[in-house]
Amino acid sequence: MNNREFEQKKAKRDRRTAAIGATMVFAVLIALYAILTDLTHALDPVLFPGLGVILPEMARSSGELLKGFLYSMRLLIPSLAAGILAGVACGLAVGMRPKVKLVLMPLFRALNPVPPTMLIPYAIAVLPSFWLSSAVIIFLGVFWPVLMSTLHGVVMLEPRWIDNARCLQLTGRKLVFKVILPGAMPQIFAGIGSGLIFSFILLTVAEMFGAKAGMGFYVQYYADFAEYGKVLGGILFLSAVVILLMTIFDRIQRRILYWTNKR
Amino acid sequence: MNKTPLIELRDLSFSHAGEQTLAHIDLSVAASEFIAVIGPSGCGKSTLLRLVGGLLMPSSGEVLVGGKNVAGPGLDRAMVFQDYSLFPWSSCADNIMLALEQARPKLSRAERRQIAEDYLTMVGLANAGRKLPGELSGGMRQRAAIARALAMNSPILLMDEPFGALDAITRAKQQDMLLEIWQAGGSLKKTVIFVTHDVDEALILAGRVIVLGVCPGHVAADIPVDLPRPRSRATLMADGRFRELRERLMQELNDAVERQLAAAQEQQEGSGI
Repeated sequence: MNNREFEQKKAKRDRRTAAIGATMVFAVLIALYAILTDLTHALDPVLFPGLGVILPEMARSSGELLKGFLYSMRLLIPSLAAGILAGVACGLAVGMRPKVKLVLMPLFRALNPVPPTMLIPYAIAVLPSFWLSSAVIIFLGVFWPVLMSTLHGVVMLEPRWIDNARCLQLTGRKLVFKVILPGAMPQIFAGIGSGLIFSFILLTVAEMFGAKAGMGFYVQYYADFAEYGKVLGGILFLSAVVILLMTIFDRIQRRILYWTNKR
Repeated sequence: MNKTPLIELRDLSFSHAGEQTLAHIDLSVAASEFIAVIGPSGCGKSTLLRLVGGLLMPSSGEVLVGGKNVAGPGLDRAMVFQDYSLFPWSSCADNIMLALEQARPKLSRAERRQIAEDYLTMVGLANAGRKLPGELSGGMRQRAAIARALAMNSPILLMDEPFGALDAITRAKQQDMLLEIWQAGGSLKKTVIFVTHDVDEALILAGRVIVLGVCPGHVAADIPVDLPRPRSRATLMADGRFRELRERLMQELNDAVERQLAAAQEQQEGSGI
């Protein structure tokens, strides 16, 4: 179809514009920083080390950064996965039973806004290991937005899909996996998106509190020694990891929600 | 006709939120009959179809299908809605295969795929199986929905303004296709209840037209369409009897609308005092 080809071409052009534009903005920002530090020494060299300091520091501690990355991922990935699965499962289980939902909703509304960061000191005291307490904190940070968005997604299911499912007499697992879950997916993904961003914050905060390794620990540790070259290097590295994970998330989302822009 | 009717509505009434939409409807539909239900908007014709489909329950009276009370939707009644019979996240073929999985559970996966493809080919969508419903035009989407309903092999087909959202030319093509498929059924023709607001559509397709009146919805007229079959659009348009029936239906609809307006006016005057 001609229309489709046109749209594909337009999407391709848009992607190129975005890639070139974003790279240019980055380049300008980096150049600005270089001018303010390495070239003119306008900023305090201790607090704002130049690229000439940051990049060699990053290269020198690449082993340490990589170790920190793996350590962080060992904490992030299982907690994130558990939070998403539990949030979707509970959201579907409660959302499909209007009476149960009626009873539990006030509880959810009360607990949902409690910031998980508040629980960090207590979780460390109650739970046996640092890993477990941080994992629980991240889990909660992901669980609540995913739960609430799944509940919302079930409410937002179009009545015609329900009619259709009833006409086909879909029940049980088939009803869940063929109709309710795919139909609620756009909302669920919105919840996973905010849960993901929240999980990065909680991960680094938790690591700054009591970890012996990890990306948050790395930044906190060298800040204590006023080695701001390493601190900035760690932050840059962390940002790159976040961008990478968000890109992977976007890809998965686009693939699963392919049908939403074909309507 | 002393044959027992396949679908029977007995003194059927339906109210929703304190407002009566249908009152005391009696209607029998014999097996292999094609009936059209026509009426002004708000007469409850979609409600009537949803009651037969089991998506709604009557406030009083009964809906019998094959002599049994309808307690909910069933695979013996395939439904085609105006523009939403398919799940937008599954391809057309997958949508049909899911329906087949439910309606004919004994089939193997390969058989289901084959049947889905056969029916898509039958409605002229041989190459659209892998496409999502959203990637098709409105007319093609309705063809896929009809393919699904036919593939389910249900004896009863309930269609709620399936061509209502299509442009005139596409609509005519779809009507021709449906007519052809239904006429090809021979002695095993499906029983069809077809809701529409288009007089020509009703006359071209149906063997009997039920006109619903408004406030509340009731059977205002039950008109047999004694036009010979197989029919084709071209011969019908020139047919004197077709024009006569068309006049009569128009008159009935007109009366219904006028009564609706009169009733509305009366109500307004009443509330003004």
